[in-house]
Amino acid sequence: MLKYSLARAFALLQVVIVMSIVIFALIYAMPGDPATVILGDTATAEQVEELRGQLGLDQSPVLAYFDWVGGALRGDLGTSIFLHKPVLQVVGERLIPTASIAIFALLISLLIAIPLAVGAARKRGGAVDTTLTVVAMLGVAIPGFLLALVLVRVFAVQLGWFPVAGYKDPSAGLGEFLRYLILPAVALGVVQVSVIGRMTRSTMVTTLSAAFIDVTRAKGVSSRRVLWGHALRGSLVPVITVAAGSFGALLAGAAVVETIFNIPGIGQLIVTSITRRDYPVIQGVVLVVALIFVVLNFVVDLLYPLLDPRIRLSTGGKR
Amino acid sequence: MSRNRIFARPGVVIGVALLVVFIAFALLVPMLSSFDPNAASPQEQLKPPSAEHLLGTDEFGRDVLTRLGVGIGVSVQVALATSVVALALGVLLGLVAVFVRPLDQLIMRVCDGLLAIPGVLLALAVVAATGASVFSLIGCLILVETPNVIRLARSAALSARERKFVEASEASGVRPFTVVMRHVVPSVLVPVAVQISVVFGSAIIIEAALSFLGAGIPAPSASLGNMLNEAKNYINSAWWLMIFPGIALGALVLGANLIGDGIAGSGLLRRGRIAARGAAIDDLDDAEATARAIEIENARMP
Repeated sequence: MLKYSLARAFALLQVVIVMSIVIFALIYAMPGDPATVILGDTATAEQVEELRGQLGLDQSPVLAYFDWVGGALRGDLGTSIFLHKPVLQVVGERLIPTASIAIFALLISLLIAIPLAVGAARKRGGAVDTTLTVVAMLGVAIPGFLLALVLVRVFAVQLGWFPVAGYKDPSAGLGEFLRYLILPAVALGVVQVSVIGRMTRSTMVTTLSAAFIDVTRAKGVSSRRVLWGHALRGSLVPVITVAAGSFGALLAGAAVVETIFNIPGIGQLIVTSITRRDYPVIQGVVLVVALIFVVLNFVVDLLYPLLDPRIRLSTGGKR
Repeated sequence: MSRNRIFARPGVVIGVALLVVFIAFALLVPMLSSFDPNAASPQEQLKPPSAEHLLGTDEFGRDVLTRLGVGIGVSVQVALATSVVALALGVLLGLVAVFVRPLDQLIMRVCDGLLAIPGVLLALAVVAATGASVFSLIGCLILVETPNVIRLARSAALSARERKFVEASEASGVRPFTVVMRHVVPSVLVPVAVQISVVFGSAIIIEAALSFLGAGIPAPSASLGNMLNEAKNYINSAWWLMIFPGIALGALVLGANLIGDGIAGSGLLRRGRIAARGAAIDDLDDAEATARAIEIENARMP
């Protein structure tokens, strides 16, 4: 287990290093001098020089990168040019709404996808299987923000069941909090049903043909328990891998959907930061989301042996 | 023969039909329409569909039908450019990773690093740095989509190289370049073709998402995302602004994915039939693995 964990941790470190270089290097893709671009034509030479210092543009890119990483490790992601607050604080304030939508959406998609997929695998070509195929196709073709527009039109404007837009803090009570989140979460969750549902179905089909399922059946275990207990348990690893992969897409999707519902999350932050040319904030948001995503996948990697005892760890991380 | 099998699948026929209809729409409408897609006419604001404006007009009184034609054209061009470059670059770098050992680690680690950043966010960050233009949009889509193609091409090339007939031709002294072009590239192309259909759909969605956020194709030029962005403000009053670009977007992505699913399910992946022209073929052992890999890559779609 220790060897396996270390191998995964080493892989994580490599990913984080490359990822941070990419995010850092993007500023050099700016046409012309970034400091001048950010501050616009009205800035004085001193202001430009000061910002160049702040962004590390007055030193070599390599040194500037190490400065930036060193700062990031101490929790210092620089200062917002527009808000004059530490970037980490700005991102932290906006992360809760976005993460809430993403988690809520993931739960919704699992609740729809897994029963559908289990039903589909039990009777291939049956009504449930057809339903899953249709939902999966729609999910692939309709992006979350488009579905969100349709949901707002039908359930908020037409029927008035849910608020059209806005966000309530969890402190306002769980009911209110969820009432405001449900439309954005459903819009994103339905899209992920296709991915999670298809994967669960194909894995369940493979698992159901395995010898251990026949043995369990022969021992007289009820078919319901075989399906939901043994077969589903044996299919969990790829399902959870895909669900963890979906989470990155959900966080990014939540960022897009937020602008429709006027939710003060990181999506709104990044969009307003683009118009304000507040580059340190953009860099910070992307870095924080990517870190959440890779760490989540790392944790899932470590969970594999607990989920499926058939996975042997002796081969140094190979399954 | 393999072509017949692909077109025997209803999904592929529907997919091709959807793409043909909407691309023909994008080609014909701007030519036949008497309206300028970008010219505002204040008297015609937000008119519902009528005989004169078949799909109504938008907040500036522009004809939605004409703008939809132009918008589909822009979205399809962006997605096509992205797909072609991602295909070429992905296959090239995937092969380099397999056949130039020292570069393998470097290429794959860079891919992992890029894939760790959710596509839409990476694209937003690139646009924030380079400024919004069609050119930078295509550039950032290529950056987002190519790593998946590289990974897939690499794994397909790795398994192709280990097959008996490839080893045999290497052993019998065929030049390495010829072995790659004749035996490895064909077996890489089928799984990559499936992935490219996903890339096409994903590029259309990311373009729409970025333009929807105001960070994609610069206004006033029409694109599906720009049109949906403008529709957002009139969701209560002008349904025609949202519904038509929405249908076009869904149909294009669905069409591309149906074609990809058709190729994946046609047995070409499983049997590796066009893998080596005429050579005796052992079964593609990891066809399952490839299919699964594609499904996992799909999970990254926004």
